[in-house]
Amino acid sequence: MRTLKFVRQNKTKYISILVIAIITLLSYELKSQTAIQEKARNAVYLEVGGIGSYGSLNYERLVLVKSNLSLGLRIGFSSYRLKDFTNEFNPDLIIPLAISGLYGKQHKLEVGLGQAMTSIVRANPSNFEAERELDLHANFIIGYRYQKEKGGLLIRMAYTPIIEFYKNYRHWAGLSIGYAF
Amino acid sequence: MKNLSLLLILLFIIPACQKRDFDIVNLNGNQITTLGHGGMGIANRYPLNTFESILNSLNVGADGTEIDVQMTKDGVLVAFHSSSLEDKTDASGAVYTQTWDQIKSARYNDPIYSNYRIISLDELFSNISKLNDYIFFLDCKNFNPDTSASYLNTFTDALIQIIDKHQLANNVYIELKRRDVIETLKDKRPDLKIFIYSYFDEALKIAAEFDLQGIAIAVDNISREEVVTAHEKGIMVVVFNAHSKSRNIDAIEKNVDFIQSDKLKHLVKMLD
Repeated sequence: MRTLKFVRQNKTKYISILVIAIITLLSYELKSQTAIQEKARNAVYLEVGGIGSYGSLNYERLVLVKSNLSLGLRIGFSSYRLKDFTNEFNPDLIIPLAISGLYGKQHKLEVGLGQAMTSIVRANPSNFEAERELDLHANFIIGYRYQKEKGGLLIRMAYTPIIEFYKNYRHWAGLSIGYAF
Repeated sequence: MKNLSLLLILLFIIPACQKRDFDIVNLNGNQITTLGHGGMGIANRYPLNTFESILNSLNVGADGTEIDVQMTKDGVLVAFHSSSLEDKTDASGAVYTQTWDQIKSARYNDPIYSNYRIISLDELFSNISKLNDYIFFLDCKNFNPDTSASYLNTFTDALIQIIDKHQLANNVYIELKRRDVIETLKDKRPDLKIFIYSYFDEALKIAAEFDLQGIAIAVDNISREEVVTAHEKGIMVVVFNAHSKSRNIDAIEKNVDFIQSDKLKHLVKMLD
């Protein structure tokens, strides 16, 4: 409960830190591109469960690679449905974003935090018209990843708790398979 | 070889998608009314009985939907399935122990990241356009163990009030399990169409005793012959637990009068 209260009170601070970290890492990545050319820096993977809800398609870019340590930025996409309850094309959108630290060569420990941006269509509680509701949710990641430095098959499994609406803590997990290149 | 594989795949897929012709004989004008189960059914991403699920079921072409009905402590009828709120929402306790103000902001737990809410029957019916074009089965979940006349009167009065307010007497079928509730409602409004929810023999007995419109039974708990037996007595049959496409077809082939399906789009397509 104390943790929950802390997170609730620090939502803005949490998002600010995440944005600053992403910008810093992107700047660093531009400077250090030549040094890490031989290593696979991109990955695409499907995740069942995880921070993209029940399943998501994700792209990850390693922005910092130093011997056993690397840092990756991830963006994904997921949806529950393409048509809303009025049967009109109006898809639910779930965009998982995360920053992850990876430690290890082939067998890696992954620790990260993220933000899921959601735009879910629901009935407005006042007029019951279909309405898009934009929300943010915090996520954490701790897990195992198999990924060779030069790329190829990627497998990961992680505990990915979610704080929905920065309010409700939910235990969650994800299993991913993909390709690094 | 590639062409052969494609042909085999098509041969496998086409029969599964095909619309079939059924020779329907029942008490419903030889037609089967297609109904959603709590809207779009249990496996849908919309939680059962939410406004979104119910509206969606009507918008995909169903004739109507089943709605689970419970009454709050202060006499408001709400659409909710489980006996306790914590099963599906972030609220707790039984519906009948809470007031409407206490539960109207409760949020369904699933799916993740969503914000679907419990709805009252009055809100629901007030916001469905062409309301009288649809059929509604109100599955009354009388979880409240109270058997006092006060409770029975409050519940049945609330039901009658909502039906009359929205002029739904011709469109509503009421599913009841408790004899005391049936007796009370039948006394007050003999014109309302009541279905008894029980096993076949028991349901048939109660339906005959109270001169009810029909029986509500799980599709796997009734045979085609038993449907004929009920029809011969002038008793209609609504089936539920049609969780799969094969159960939809099974229900159709049994010649029931109404099907409450969890595979609604398939059912609508089969009977279109």
